[in-house]
Amino acid sequence: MESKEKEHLLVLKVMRLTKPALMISKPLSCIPTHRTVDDHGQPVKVATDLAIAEGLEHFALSQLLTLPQNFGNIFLGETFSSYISVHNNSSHVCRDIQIKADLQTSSQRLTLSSSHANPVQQLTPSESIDDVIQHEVKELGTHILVCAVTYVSNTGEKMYFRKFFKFQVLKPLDVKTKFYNAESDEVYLEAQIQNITPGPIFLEKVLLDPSSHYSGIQLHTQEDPVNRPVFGKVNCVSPLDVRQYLYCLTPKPEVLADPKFMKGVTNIGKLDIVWKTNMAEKGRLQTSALQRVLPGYGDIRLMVEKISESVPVETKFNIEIRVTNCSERTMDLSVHLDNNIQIGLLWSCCSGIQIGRLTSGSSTLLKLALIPTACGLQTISGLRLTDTFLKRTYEHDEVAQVYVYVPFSDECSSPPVISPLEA
Amino acid sequence: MFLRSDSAHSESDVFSASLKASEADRQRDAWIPSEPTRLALVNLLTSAQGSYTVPHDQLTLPGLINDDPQGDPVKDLVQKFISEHEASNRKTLSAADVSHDEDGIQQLMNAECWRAAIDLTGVILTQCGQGMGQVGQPSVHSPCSLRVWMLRISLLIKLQLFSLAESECQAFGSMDTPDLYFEYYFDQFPGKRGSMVPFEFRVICAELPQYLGKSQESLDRLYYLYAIAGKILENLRQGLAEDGSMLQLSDSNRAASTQLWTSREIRLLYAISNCALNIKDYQTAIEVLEDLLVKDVSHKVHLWSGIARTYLQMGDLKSGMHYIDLFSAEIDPEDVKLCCINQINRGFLAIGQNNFPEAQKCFQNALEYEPNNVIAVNNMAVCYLYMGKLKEALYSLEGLVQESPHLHLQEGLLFNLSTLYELQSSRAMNKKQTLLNLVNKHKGNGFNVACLKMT
Repeated sequence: MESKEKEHLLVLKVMRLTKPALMISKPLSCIPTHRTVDDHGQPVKVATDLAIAEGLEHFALSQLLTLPQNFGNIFLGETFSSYISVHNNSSHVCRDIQIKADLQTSSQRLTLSSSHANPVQQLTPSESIDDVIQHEVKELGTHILVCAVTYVSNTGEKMYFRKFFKFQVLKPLDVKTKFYNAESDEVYLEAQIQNITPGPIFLEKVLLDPSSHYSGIQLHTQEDPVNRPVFGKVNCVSPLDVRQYLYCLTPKPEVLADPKFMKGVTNIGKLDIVWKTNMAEKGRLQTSALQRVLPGYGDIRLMVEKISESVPVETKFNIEIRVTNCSERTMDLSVHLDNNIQIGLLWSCCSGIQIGRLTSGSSTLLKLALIPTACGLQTISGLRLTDTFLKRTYEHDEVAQVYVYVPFSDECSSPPVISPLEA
Repeated sequence: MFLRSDSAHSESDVFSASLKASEADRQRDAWIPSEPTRLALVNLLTSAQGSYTVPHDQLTLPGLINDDPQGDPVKDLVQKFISEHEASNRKTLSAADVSHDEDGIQQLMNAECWRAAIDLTGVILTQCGQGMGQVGQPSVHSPCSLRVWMLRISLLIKLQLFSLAESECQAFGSMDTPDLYFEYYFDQFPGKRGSMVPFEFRVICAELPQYLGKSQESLDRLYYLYAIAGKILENLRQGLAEDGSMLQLSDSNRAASTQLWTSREIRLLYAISNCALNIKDYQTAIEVLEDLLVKDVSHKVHLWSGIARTYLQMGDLKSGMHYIDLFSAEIDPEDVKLCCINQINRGFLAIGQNNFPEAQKCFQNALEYEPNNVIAVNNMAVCYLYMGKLKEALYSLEGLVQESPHLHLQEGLLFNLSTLYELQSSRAMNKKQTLLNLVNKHKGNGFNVACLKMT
């Protein structure tokens, strides 16, 4: 990377500025922490060891800041910051000095903001032009910092030299997402975030930014007034550790009303991640839009809208089921009820009723009745819907569950809560 | 420093003074042996003289692994970068200049001649029959030989000669063999109980593996020591002696011992949190520091400040700020020392927020409380660099070094200064030679030349 700097009057020096670190000492209580005598055994003024934490002699993390020792790693989403110094090493005055810092990535060349964009009129011997450049890295892979210096020497000659500094931008996090669809149109998003840097990171923010179709809440917080995350007091992710975040997304009412949105692929939103490392060195990443594939319901979707959680044995009860035509065509449906499939329950209404025509996307409410014949948890099955246009029968079993109890018995007076099964 | 038992006493009261001294000895030397060691010691004391000998493999048989003179790296650098003449004129204390005993070592350490001090420990240990080639050979331990070993290993750690320290420590194992107990030498120390191994020696040997990448081993060993310290405190609480025997202790005696062992327990917790910090296990480090808030109450405010720094180092500004706020709410505005620390803490917070001008102001404020606070000057210089003011940064640090080199020629500070020189111009080498001249003039042979970054 050395250019022909010997012939030049000016010298360019570059140093990457990661955050300074606190010096870590090794407390050894049997060695004096300061020199008390000189080489001739004469007492000297006490000099305390700067690496010893003031007030805590046994604690290793001192208050002394030290400058970065090497280039270190740089990760996508972090800010690359660098000191650039052009020093006049000669005994001559140089004029019209211009410094240009570019960052070359695999896809583009960026000019980094510099407070010295305009030429500096002159630089006297031993003086320097200093600048700190910053750039948030948004690309992986090889980056080359190109620093170019032009100036006019004392002899009036126009001079020019460049220096190159190459570095690799690495990937800090691995983000995996999974969707879980609930019967109730809600969708649960599980995000697994793995720290693939070599050091621990503090995941300050993992926020779901929902798309306009959804509203979302995060579920990885405690139920306390400040909604602290569930990750404990010290929120630190060790290298290669994976952390799970869970969100619940609900389609907005206007979206639910539009059957077009409830099919196929929709944009759920994106994750906004902020992490910090040494002395709060910051990194920030956003995922691309997360795509959800909506569950296919086939041609007909059943949703239990009303059912008792528990019913007394041998007493008729009602169930309300919404039937939605999810196909592209109009259907003409009739309902048949089959008592041979379910045990412990008997349908107690007319089989063979006509629902009538149902256009694509529209729905109707079925009100049916059953009589339980046995106690315990019973499963409602044997619902048959026949499309008379196509002569096709849709079988729906295990539509819902109901708890059947013996009335007037104290033990069964508060039965457990039962939720309907997916149709 | 050593925990010496020589308390002041008047001549008229020699008896009670010696009793007091032996009490202090017992508290200091108390240890709980492992079961095999305890049985061996019981056998030794109860069997007819000479009829029972502890097997060879249950003894600690240490020896030097390397006794090459440690030399003087400063002198080598002076020879290389300044002149032969200057190098030959350099005179630092050597083992030959002092008495060959513990006082001699202390004298060398006081002059920061740590390398010479290591040489001297080698000389003394050779005299004790634990020199080169003596590993595995029978030798006799004494409290003195073990203290010298402790100093030697400490010095090796200080000079980052970890591998040598480790290989020499190996012979000591878990420091529990019968021949490390006073009871083993019942002729020489009649009636004396406990371990000859200084407590601090146990701590540094437990800390050592982490510097060689074996942090888990360090943590295991430190927690083992912590468990023993806890057991001793438990024994004291239950009205027993430290080692669990039925020996009657007076109340004041028990209180003194409890205080000593509590302070040792605290020392171990710091060692554990340091080890966790070294491997960036911030969770453990902070949990242990939180424990210390309860156990080491007298250092509460400084612990808050330490916890804050740990959080900031980890990146959690909000938690760091919480502890910094606790600190500032507690301190007396008249206490300049604490006010100065408070400003330094605020400076760290500003650095966390990437606001270096604000941080620089905080460190400047700290100097108003304590104008001679070197940490504040150094930290301010660091901020100047991030503000694009290399010249100011250099000016601050050079000022410190020029003004009182004997106080300020210290590793961290010189490391920063050398880094700034490298950034400033191609004449960094000349500037570093000037520093080396100062080091040559003011520093002993223990100086870590690596911070000058000359090679």
